[in-house]
Amino acid sequence: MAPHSTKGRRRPQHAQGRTSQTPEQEQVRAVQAALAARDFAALQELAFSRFGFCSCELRRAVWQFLLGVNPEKGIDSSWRKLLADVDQDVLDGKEARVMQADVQRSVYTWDVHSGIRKSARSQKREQLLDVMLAILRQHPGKLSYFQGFHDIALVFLEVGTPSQAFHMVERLALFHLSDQLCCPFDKGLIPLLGLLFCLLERVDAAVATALREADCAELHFAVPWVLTWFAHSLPRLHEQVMRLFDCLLASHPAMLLYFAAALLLHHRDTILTTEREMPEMVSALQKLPLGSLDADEWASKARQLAKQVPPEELLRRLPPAVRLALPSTSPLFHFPHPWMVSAGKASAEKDLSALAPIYRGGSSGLAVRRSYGGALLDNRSWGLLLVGGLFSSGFGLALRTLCLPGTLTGSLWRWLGPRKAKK
Amino acid sequence: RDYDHLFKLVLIGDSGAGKSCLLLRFADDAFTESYITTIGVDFRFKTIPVDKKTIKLQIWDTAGQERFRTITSAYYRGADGIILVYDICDRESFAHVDEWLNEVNRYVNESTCKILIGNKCDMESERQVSTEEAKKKADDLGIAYIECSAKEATNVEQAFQMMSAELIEKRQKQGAGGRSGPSAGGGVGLLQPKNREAGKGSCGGLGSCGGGD
Repeated sequence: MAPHSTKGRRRPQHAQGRTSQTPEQEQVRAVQAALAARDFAALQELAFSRFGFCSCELRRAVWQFLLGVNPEKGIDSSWRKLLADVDQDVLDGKEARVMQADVQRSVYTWDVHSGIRKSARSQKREQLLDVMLAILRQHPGKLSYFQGFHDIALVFLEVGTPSQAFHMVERLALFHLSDQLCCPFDKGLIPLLGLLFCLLERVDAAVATALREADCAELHFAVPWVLTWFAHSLPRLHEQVMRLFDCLLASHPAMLLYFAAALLLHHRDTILTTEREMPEMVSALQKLPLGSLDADEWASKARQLAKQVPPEELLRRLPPAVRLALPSTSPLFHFPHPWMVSAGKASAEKDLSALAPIYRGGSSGLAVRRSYGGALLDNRSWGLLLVGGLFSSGFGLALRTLCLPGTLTGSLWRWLGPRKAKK
Repeated sequence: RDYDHLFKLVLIGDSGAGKSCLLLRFADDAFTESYITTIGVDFRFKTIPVDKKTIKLQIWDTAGQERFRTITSAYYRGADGIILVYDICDRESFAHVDEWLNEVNRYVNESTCKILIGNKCDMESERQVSTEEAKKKADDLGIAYIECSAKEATNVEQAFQMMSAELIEKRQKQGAGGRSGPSAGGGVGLLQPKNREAGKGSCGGLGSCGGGD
């Protein structure tokens, strides 16, 4: 049973009323308390509060928890065995060479890297290549490197040790980034951008129209945002990138798109006043002053959009073409993550990779369905729904009886409800 | 409008060849050691004078990784010029020149001008591809060749000048300024029908401008 069922929606009592504390100290205490209680729901709230998870030290623990990584794993360096025969100087294969070239020009991205010593930079680069190579080797044929994955992986190396980063990024790759990492872009990234455009149409039709008129409806300018979780685009590591990651790691996988939408809405005047030509529009969007973006404000705007059009509702009401373009293994259809549903069951830990949608594919297994009902609602069942409806409706009902109520599974009920009404 | 001609150019080539650095040098006359990977497509405008004419260039800079071709290929369409970049210190990037041309020829037509740039010519001691070999390659392909260094600003301006001059000539031959408007010339959207006519050897005349022979 999920330990986050009822309590902790608000900050725990002991963190309130301590007026002597600074707001940041208060946030630290609240996060620590929620973490100690293994309270996902509270952490989801706190991610969006001012300061988020506050510091690298706290993030190390909270991010591991949000990714279902047992803290003990953080000191497990057995992953290095995957690198036994690797010579970083002579990597084989096109993909590895591209990755190596990207690593060679990394550790320049954020403010914290401006004064970094040469030796520290080299060390960080070596670690980055190790972590990414090991992850790709751990899942041969499943994950393939894209330029920008290195930007994300580096964030985790700034938060934790290489071992911690390995375990966190592996989990991230399988459960958050599989559309980007496991599918060719036309099957993974492009459909996500299509979804983002649908979201924009829902939350600000004028902006969507302006972009369409400028031939930018494909949202290619947002490719680095979606591929790197903005890590490639935001200049400030702690105040911006990590704050954003706090929110994304705690939220529905669609939250990234809400942040992208919130950013565009924040700059709607720029978009609406720009000439409706692609070069002019792209040029304007490339020049958005991201350095001055306040992450807390951005997070509340994104969250407000997610309340206005909840991810489940967005997905449910997509035009069929957009919906069917999304991979059935997309994290969008597989939330909450298995460790969020069965938190505390440490025994499940070692099998978590096998529970990743990309490994389960269309497989069926009662145990998996029970812990992980959202998985059933992939685009194939949508297809069935559209064609005949009855079959998947039976699935939905069976699922209701199998699933136990809980805060996180609440979203699942909402998902299922209108589905039934549709028939 | 404040220009005589508008051209759409696209930079392509292997990851790490220096496409973004060439563009940064050309557009801002700057160079940085802390160059970073291009994710997707970047864009710059640059206006330059060529033969007493004002030329506005729209330059699209693309990610080099093969995976991105789904996205970047949309920008080849309707391009007036393709700038294919390799790194003279990386033989593999040179070996992929044919592959890049084949890829781009699926989308562009015969009037598209192409140029081969060997970048990083300041790093002579690490050179893996000789000038002669590259020139011969470019001749065989019927396109112009020039060696540049984004770092030392060698030939960068010249490469863009050379391509612009050739494009002006082409356009003038086609009929006085017929395609030079922003909506007809470079402002080409992604929705244009594909032209799958291969345009190999379309830029042969360029050889004279940049040491292509």
